[in-house]
Amino acid sequence: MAVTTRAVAGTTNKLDIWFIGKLVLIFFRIMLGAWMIVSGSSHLLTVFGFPPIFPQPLGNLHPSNVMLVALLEVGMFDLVKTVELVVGLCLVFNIFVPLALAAALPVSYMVFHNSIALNMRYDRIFSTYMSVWCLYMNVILLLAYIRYYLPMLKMRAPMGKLEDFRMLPSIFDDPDRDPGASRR
Amino acid sequence: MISDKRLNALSVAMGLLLTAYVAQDLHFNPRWYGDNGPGVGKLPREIVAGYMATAYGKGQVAEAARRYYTRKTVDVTPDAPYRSDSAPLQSTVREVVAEGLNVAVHHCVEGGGAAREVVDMFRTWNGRILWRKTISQPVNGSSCAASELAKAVDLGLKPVSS
Repeated sequence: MAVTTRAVAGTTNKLDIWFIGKLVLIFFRIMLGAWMIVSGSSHLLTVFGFPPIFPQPLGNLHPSNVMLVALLEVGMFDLVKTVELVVGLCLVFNIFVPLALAAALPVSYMVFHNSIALNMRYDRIFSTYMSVWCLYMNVILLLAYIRYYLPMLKMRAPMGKLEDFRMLPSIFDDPDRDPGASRR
Repeated sequence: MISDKRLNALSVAMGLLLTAYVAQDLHFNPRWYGDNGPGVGKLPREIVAGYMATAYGKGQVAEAARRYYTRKTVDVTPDAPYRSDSAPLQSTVREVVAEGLNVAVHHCVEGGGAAREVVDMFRTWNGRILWRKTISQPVNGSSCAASELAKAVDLGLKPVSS
């Protein structure tokens, strides 16, 4: 893979504007992760017979009620909350972050859409509610990790080969070590 | 000043602390904290089923209201049949139509006098019943089983057997 984090991972940070920006992005990552862990585990606790951390709100206006109740009744909410929990753990523990952010985007957008469009709370677009900031933080973090998405954003992408599967172990490479060492 | 490795360890610790903070903040939210009603955390169909099991199945209308109503609950038809305590009633549910927080139940009620075909409509909110309305008519026949409305209506809820 063309991307390496070696130069980034070995850095010793100094207090400057870039480091402050980095701290803000780290806060976004762990805040989004923390919120998703709680949101996901609260619902999943009920699946296993435990009381939730908080009862799932079902929206204020009818379209929101319909979407949330339908998701719950057909079982799709279990999948949504499982994604939230796994993504949240990845973000807090800083593992598989680019993948987690991409997986989180549909969930973040649905939370945003439910809060703003389905409940007609357009005044919240510029608020500090997590229901809108989950999408904002998700998008900002996606841009911060864009170097990992560039390889898949190629307009002309020839199909891979069977040998490509041999590169799979490289996903566990330590960014401080020579990338691809696990393949040798 | 600080290495990335150390920063990462600190961020994980902060992330776990934030998770605990978010959990306690949502758990103790006054919108729901302290409400231990039997319908809290349940889906609208389950809330209505719980209410009806007490109000009709046990005939304990006041107890059902105490457990499932709020102080803001509006009963649009307070003079409708079956609004007071009685012996347990037999409720045969014919159809349930639920959309969002609204649940409408068509059932036939026997006991405590002549059988009646009843449509109960509910709006639920945070595990409780916020609004209800009842429309009823006497059974066109001697019993619920003999009623003309006993014929099942295909609402497309089950696979069609060929």
